[in-house]
Amino acid sequence: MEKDSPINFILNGKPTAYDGSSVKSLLDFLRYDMNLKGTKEGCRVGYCGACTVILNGKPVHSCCVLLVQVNNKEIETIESTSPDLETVREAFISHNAPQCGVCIPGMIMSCLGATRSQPSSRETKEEHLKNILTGNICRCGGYSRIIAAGLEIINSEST
Amino acid sequence: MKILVPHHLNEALEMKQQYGDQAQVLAGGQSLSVLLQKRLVSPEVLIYLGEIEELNTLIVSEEQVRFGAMVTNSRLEYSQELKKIAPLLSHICSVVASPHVRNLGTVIGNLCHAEVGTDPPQALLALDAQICASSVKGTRWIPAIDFITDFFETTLEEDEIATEIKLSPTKCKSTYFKHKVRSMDLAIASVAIAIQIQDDKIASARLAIGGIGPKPIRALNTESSLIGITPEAAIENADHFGSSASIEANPSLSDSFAPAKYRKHLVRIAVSKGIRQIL
Repeated sequence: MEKDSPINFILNGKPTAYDGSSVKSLLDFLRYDMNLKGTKEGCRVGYCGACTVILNGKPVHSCCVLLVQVNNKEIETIESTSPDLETVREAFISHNAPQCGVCIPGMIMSCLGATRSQPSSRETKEEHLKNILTGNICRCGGYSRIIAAGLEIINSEST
Repeated sequence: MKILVPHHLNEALEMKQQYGDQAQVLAGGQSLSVLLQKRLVSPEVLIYLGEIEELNTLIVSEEQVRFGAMVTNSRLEYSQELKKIAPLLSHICSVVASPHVRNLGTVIGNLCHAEVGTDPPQALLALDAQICASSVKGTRWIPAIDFITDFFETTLEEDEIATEIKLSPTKCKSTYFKHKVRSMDLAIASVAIAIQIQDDKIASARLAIGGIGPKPIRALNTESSLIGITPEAAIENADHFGSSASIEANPSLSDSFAPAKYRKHLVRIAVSKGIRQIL
């Protein structure tokens, strides 16, 4: 019952364990225990989206997830080698989406989340993408190119 | 600080009984983990509810909607049945913060955090929901209106955990107005309106107003003056109902986002616009 037993989860396709010795956020675990520095630390209050990762297929802010919450779940970060993540990356490059680049790992993960989920009945695909991207802030203001990159993927999927 | 992970509700209730206010309950963690990392709260024990299967149930039927403490905002947002049966709740769950937060954040967690300007309390007030507070001694059902008592304060006792919400959906016309600066922000003022019409007369009306003071309120006098009149008369006097609701709400909160006077103005506009829109 007490969480001295390890926390097990799949990280980018690999089974991973944490010994459960301290209360730690997923973001800290990724950056400082696993040395996966692609996931950025921004506001740390679940607002800016720089730390977005995919948890069981859905984008979440990893700064607001404690490790106990990911037990037996699947996590995907920007370091993942899955082919659909590669497609999103390519689209971001071809649209010159990054400016300073700090928000981009989070933006890519959110776009990936949008391509993997279905829009609800009250929104179109484009609205769905924009809705998911409300969880990410770009202080360079490069939203139009980021959205253009996301739309390219969503539209190419439907054809 | 240690984390306890119960697998059954009874275990969780025993833990809460044992540790009392030294224990914080962790559900989606979208508010609590921020407070923990900022060292604003430092409980001895965290009780994580995520492994308790029974708290993950969502039951939607014509007679009743019930959901447990681990049901996330996005699950309610994407539930097709809920959208048909309680569109107001489904809509309000879709405007909470960002999708990232909704994917983990729970409605009951949001309610227990009791922050000013969050959305779900208004839905629960307007739909007359009840919240189940469980402890080892038994359970009690608390009407949504009595649940939040002050800034970050609820009526839950030290040994109680909020485990479930139930509401009886009625066929009503409803809308939700939320004023905020950025899409992810908390509401500066928000109004949920649910009006039931029978025989071309307003049979019941509920106006839930949030973001204006220590707790969300209902504009009871305005509600009772709406009952019994025709929708046309309500539309004609929409401005009057707007001002009356804003006087009743009497916003007391002035902060860096808006002075109380502006909040009052927003409530007036929201109520009159809402009445015109749904009737």
